[in-house]
Amino acid sequence: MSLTEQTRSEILRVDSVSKTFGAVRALHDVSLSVSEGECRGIIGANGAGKSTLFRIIARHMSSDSGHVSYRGKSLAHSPAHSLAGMGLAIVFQEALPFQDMTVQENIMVGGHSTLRHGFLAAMLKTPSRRVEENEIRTRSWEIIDRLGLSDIANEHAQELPFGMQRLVQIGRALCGRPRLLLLDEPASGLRFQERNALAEVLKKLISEGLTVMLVEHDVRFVFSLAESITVLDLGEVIAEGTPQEIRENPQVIEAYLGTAANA
Amino acid sequence: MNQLIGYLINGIAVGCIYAMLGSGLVAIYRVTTVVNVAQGTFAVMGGLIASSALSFGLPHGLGELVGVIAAGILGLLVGKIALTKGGISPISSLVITIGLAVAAYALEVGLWGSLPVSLAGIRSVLRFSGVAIQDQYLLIIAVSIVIFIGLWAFFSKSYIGLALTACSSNSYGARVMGIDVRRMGVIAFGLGGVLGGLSGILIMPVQPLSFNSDINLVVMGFAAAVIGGMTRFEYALAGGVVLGVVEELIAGYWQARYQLEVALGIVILTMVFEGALNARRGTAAWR
Repeated sequence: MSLTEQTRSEILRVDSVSKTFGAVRALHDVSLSVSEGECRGIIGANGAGKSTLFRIIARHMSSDSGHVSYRGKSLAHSPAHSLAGMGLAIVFQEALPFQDMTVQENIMVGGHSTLRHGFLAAMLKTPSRRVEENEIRTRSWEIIDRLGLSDIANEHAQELPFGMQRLVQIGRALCGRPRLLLLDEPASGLRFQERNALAEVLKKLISEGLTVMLVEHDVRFVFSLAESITVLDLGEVIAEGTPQEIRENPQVIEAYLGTAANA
Repeated sequence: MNQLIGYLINGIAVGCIYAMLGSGLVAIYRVTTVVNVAQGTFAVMGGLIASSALSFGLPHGLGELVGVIAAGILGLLVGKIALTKGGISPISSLVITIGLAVAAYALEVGLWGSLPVSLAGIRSVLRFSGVAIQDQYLLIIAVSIVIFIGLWAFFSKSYIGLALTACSSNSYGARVMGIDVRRMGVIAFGLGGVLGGLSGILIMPVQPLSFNSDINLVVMGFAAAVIGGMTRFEYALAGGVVLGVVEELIAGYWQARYQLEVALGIVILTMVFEGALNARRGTAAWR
């Protein structure tokens, strides 16, 4: 472990999590730790348990044993909708942009978790609530600017090409001012150029200090972004290390990378 | 000719009531994708409670307001029960609302009896060039215009409206954004209750309601809402007005008892037409 990693504090911890579906062992005794400011990649072949792990962290599924903690606090009793308010933003492939809303409106909805004043305040339009809503509006435009979505900010999000929709999904998550961004297969379904554009956006966010954890089967995409990688195979962690170490790990090459990494 | 103008204005007013009931269904469906069968119950209960409030000596306006607020609270309760736990399927919630609507009969018959109850409303009549219009109909139209502009602004312009809409568009995504989807659903039911109660107190002076009027009301509201694809208030308004006018014309020139059949016929035609349209587009007719 390098010196910089030791001085960083831990933001997410997965502690011996296991999950079975009937006779299928999706995850077995999986542990990992993500530090503040890190970009962690989780890779593995189809069926390796990546999505299951992601769903358990996102509280869309519960584990059979083990637990997940975020900034030192167990998530065992946190409902899925409370995570965003804690600074844990999740970008699911399936969570497409909201229909009948423009790009800017979609991103604004992402600011919901930062609201301190509730429904009654919204109905009464109290001054403090109005200040909050204006803040979210301002933030949404800043994000649009950062993601390069200015030209399409007023277009309906569901009519955009897939790559743009993915950026809207990320923008929506950013509007909640996250500390940790979890991305579920962000590059899947994207064309080459879209993939590069997404990588550029993510690089920028990482350099700004956002902690990112990405679950992805596109190995090249992960290698270009992550500073450390965890490899899952048949529900177990088989390796963990820098991209260089992973590339050279014989077990990983045998189980998953094959010759793809050298190509 | 004068007769026709009279039928048209009455039809538009009755149609506005159907549209308001439909808008309650739309508000709930937009957020929860649940079809609330108890929507007619909100109107009946709102009207009955208003009639009691008035008979206890509350002044006009205040008594009706009590009815609308009570219907809103009833809406919240129905929402709480129908959306008992997170992840309940919309069909299960629909069945719960049927159960609650039937259970409400016991309460209604027990407290108010089984005979139709009326409200005073506005009794005055406007006359111009031989046409006589009861002012209550004009009040209905005026209130509806205000309500529909308000609904449109609330759902498409306000921040909380965006969050509510997000729930129905993609409840998965909304939850990830930190939105408590169930709570938003209960709020939508509350809004549906207010809209139902409002339609109840507005229609009762011209059409007395009894405990089992809810079926008729919810079917007409549903017909209006279906024309709006269950998600658009402005189309639901148009749908309601078309229904109301057709119904008045049938009642005026032919037989009043066919009104329900006509409404159901329009629902079926709309669904068949939309289904065919969606099939051609390759999208699901019923999301």
